[in-house]
Amino acid sequence: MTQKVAAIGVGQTEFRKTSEAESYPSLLRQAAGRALDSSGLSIGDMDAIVLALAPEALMGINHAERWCVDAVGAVGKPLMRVQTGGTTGLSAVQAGYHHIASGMFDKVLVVGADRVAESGDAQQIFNKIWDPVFERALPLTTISMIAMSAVRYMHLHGMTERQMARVSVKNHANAMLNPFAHLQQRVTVDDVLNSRYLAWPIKLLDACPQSAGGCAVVLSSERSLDASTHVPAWISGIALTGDTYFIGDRVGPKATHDYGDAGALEDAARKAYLMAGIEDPKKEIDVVETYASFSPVELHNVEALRLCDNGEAGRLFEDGYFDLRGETPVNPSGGVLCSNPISVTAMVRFAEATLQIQGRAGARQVPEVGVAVATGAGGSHQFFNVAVLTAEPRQS
Amino acid sequence: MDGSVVVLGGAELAQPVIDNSLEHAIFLTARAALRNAGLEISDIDDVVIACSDQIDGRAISSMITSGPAGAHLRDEINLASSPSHAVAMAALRVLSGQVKRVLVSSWGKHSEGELELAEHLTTDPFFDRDIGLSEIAAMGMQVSLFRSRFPEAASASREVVLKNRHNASKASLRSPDPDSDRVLFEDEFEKSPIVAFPLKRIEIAQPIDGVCSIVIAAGEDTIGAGESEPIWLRGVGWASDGYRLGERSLLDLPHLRFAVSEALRRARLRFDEERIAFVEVDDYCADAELLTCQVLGLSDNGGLQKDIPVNASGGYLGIGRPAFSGGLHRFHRAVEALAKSSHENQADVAVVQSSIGFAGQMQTVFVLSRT
Repeated sequence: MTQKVAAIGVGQTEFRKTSEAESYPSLLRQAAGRALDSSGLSIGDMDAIVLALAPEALMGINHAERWCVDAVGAVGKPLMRVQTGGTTGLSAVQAGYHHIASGMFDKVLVVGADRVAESGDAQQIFNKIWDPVFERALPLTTISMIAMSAVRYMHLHGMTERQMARVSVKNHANAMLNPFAHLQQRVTVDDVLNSRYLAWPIKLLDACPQSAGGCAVVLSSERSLDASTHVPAWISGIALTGDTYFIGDRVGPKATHDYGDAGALEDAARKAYLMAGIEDPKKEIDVVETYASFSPVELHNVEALRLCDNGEAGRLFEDGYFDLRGETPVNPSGGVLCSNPISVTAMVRFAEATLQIQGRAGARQVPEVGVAVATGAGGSHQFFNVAVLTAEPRQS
Repeated sequence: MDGSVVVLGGAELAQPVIDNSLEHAIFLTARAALRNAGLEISDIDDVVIACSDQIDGRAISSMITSGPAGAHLRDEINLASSPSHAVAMAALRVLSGQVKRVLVSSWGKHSEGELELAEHLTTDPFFDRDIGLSEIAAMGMQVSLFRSRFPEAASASREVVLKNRHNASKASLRSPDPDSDRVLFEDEFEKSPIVAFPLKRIEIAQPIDGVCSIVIAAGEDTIGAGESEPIWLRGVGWASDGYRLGERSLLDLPHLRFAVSEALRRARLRFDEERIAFVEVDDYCADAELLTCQVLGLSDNGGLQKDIPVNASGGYLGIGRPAFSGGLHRFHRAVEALAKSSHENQADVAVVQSSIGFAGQMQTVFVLSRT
């Protein structure tokens, strides 16, 4: 029988430029320490550790899980490392979840860090995720990858650059309330529209930074929870769906999902919602932290999460529906547009959702959060994971 | 473990050079594993893989390789630390009660890249890279310590090489040396050069290409019309040691002791029970097998273990060491051997140990049984 699992502690470091950040092991240690402190526990209480480490080419040490065993307190303990591209942070949480849900463990520390741009510009590394014969020379990068999706979404649903800019304005404003956010600067729609193009229609202020920092969460089984001290954020649903690799297979009559939409995210959400008993996402979900490294992604994400119908997102963003004080706040932390420490970016979404459930999100707190959703994205915009956190335990 | 986990079937490719693209080799192996388990891909709930970006030559290898491993439109996860961790994760998922069948795959083609360079780049860039620390160098240091403490290990190591090659030839599996199905002659061993003192090349398992897939499933409900007899996964334990060799207990291996004690505890078994039919352990070098058997209590003073068959499959020394995926191959071969072993024999349990990282930094132990 599935053991119920809750997040009881969260730790983040202040996200910043790699050149200004501490070493990779130090970031891990800080994040882990803060998560343990917030849960009132020590490393000795942890039965196992899961490390989130996405393309280690970014921080420059192959299989760095071997190098940093000491930094995460895993000497003599069970340690696993997860690597699923951009979804890594939430996949690591999912791995920690299964440690406990299996009944074999009670307390698991999930931790990760990144120093994006340690090994040069991230896009040089991201060019190496593509096929060496046909794709690297184009050149494909994650920016051009999302640019093509954005163009397709514009074709399908009429999104405008102004609507993209509105997402960026919202997230930058939210980040001003988040002491951990890397970019803390207010921007206007005109600022975004006037920033230089990276790959049409994506402009500089539509894009995420290259961040360094760490994140950790402490997961607990229901049976080992201390009700007097722990404020649980129950993991009521968690799932991942992977789409095809080749982008070209996601357009045309034979495509399972259209590249302009986030069909695999919708599938992952459907599975997670089913686990959590969510039947009407528009009404039941109080806050969302969604992985959108470029502003157009947030539009098709909210549609895939069934927070609105396909094609509605642009207008709703313009109307403030997803603002911090809107109907369904999206990315109250500032989201990935304001901090992107890739190995843990999806874990940060989970951590922020946990803080919202626990009522510990400070100035960015959404009132009376009972259900929070966190998502991750990775690969060729092909891997998507979704976690549903609830204030009360529920599992169907 | 509370709850039942079975291994329904598996398949592997293990050759000096797999003459096929990596993606196609993964697809063929995954499909063969499903066939051996009597299943279709539609019967699979989740996919767990273990791959190394550096060996595969892609910054996120799973983008292109997870599809051939069966992950399209499925829940997929990559345990990039070890293929043994992938097996453990599949078991955790099954034990959570949320899925019934998980397809586990791992691979590595040393023939497509520079394995030693990839391993060298796992070292600390400030203190260790410039001194040339590598996996073989770490083996040499560990073996030097082992033999200085237990002088008998030097001659026992030769016996391990002979035994494992002989076992491999009996099992009719290919080895990296086309002549290895003949008994190793004394002067061949003597002539083998030292590559990391005191280790000779012949005492170190040679890298080969490998792809392996297995199906992990929940209990008797999921047993289908497969070609392989299902084998039960009764216990698993895993643990890591620290990074710095100088700070580790390279002969006592406390993390291995923890892993085996956890695996046996979960299996509700003691190591000295008559039920243990055989043991498969990591022989990345011959002394590693000796050391592991000593830590497991099967031998002492660095000598050869003789009571329970060790590496009857031939191990890495006999067959070759699949780059990265070796632990899954060892697990799969142990499952196959146990399934084929006589039902008249009361010894129906196998213990499988694998390691990864310099001098066995990360250890995993499984307990399998026929019943």
